[in-house]
Amino acid sequence: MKVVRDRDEARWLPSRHHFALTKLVAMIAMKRTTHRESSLKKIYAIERDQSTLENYAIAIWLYVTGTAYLLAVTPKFTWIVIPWIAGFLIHVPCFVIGVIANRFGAVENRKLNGVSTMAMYLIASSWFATTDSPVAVIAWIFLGIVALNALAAVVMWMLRGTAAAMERRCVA
Amino acid sequence: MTRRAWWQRFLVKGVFWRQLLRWAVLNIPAWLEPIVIAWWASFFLLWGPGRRGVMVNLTSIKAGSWALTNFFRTYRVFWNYAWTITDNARYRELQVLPDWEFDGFENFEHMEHREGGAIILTAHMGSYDLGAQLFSETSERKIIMVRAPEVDPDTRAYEKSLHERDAERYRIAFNTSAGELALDLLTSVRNGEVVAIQGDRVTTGISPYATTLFGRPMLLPAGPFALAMTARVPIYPVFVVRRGRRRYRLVARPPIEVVRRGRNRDEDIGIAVAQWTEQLESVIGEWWFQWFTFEPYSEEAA
Repeated sequence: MKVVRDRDEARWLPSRHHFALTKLVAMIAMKRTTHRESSLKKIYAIERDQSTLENYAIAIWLYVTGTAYLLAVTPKFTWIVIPWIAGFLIHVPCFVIGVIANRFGAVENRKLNGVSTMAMYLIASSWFATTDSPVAVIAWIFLGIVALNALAAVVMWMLRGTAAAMERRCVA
Repeated sequence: MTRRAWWQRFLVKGVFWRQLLRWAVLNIPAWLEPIVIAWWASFFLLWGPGRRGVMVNLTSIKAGSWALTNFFRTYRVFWNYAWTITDNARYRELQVLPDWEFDGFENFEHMEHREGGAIILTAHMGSYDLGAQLFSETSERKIIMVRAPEVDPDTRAYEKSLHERDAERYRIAFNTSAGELALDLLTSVRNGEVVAIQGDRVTTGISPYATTLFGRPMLLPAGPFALAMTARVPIYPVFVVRRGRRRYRLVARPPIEVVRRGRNRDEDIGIAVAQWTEQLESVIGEWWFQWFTFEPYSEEAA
């Protein structure tokens, strides 16, 4: 695995991000970051899930969305435990799909589970968006972010040369 | 040999949880991890002895603290522990390194460039395993990690099988037989190798040294200090601290010299132990949420 030593701007490398939208934001942030001298020696790992900001932002977004959907379909007397149960239910499909994939000989299923989770959220959001409940707003926000990410993917494809040049400058 | 009951694998130190962690690292998308870890850290708060152990330790570290506050602090300890073991499993399974910062790099370089072996003394903080892996990749020297064997036999066998895969990079020695191990380690240090020992806990069969930590009496292992005195090598206090998601800091402090000054060997060891406990107090005081000691460290506190 590639690493970058003592270059603070490396933390914004698009290759340390997973989704197109955050890659685009990271590219802009990297252009604005200047190198700061520090007494600490640093090593930055170049891996697509390395960004803290991206991963926490997505986790919180999915948690809030998932909890809101659960609250919308459960009776009021259960609401006090729903935030805790939601934390479990959100990752249950990964267990189910992962175990089935294991049966077919696939050991590493992070991508499959990632796609499945997002697909389930898309289906749920499409349904909730058509309802009259207040949770429709959250569903529309979800669909909006997905659309924005698709748009960012197109922009990132157009800027692929610039992104590659930034990577080369920093990683070299 | 009696056959173990099937449910014992599900005990808190059972092998099931190690296997589940490995499975999760290979199957859960990274952007779901914060939810998964937050949930499982809250689930493990149900583990009474572990929760109470951390809370008791926190009352000593944070003198005058409230039980309710320490309950939430305990959650923070569990949360950090969950991230740490996940990062360690991720490195083992996927060779994904976290980001690293080095504090006191000059001490690390001093150890690297001096002739002869050295002893790294560390604590149950951050990721001991990740630190050793980083060391093995950045250093020319071979590292020997000394650790206590797992209590559960299945977990012990599972961990052993994992460590065998890493045997080329570093060696793990289990302190099951103190006498044999001491000779083995002495030979290694004299051969210029680096021995890493966790110096904040005494396990069965290890000779203890009585001292105090945060004003409470406790026992520390005397072995590392006796080894340093016999082999005439310094002890380097090194701590691996988790700074955030997939981000660690390696804190290397100035070396402790264990010098034989007079006839009383224990007194000389006591001077080095006092320096070590001072380092421990300063590091644990600052990063209390990463001291993964789930039993009361002091019998008095327990």
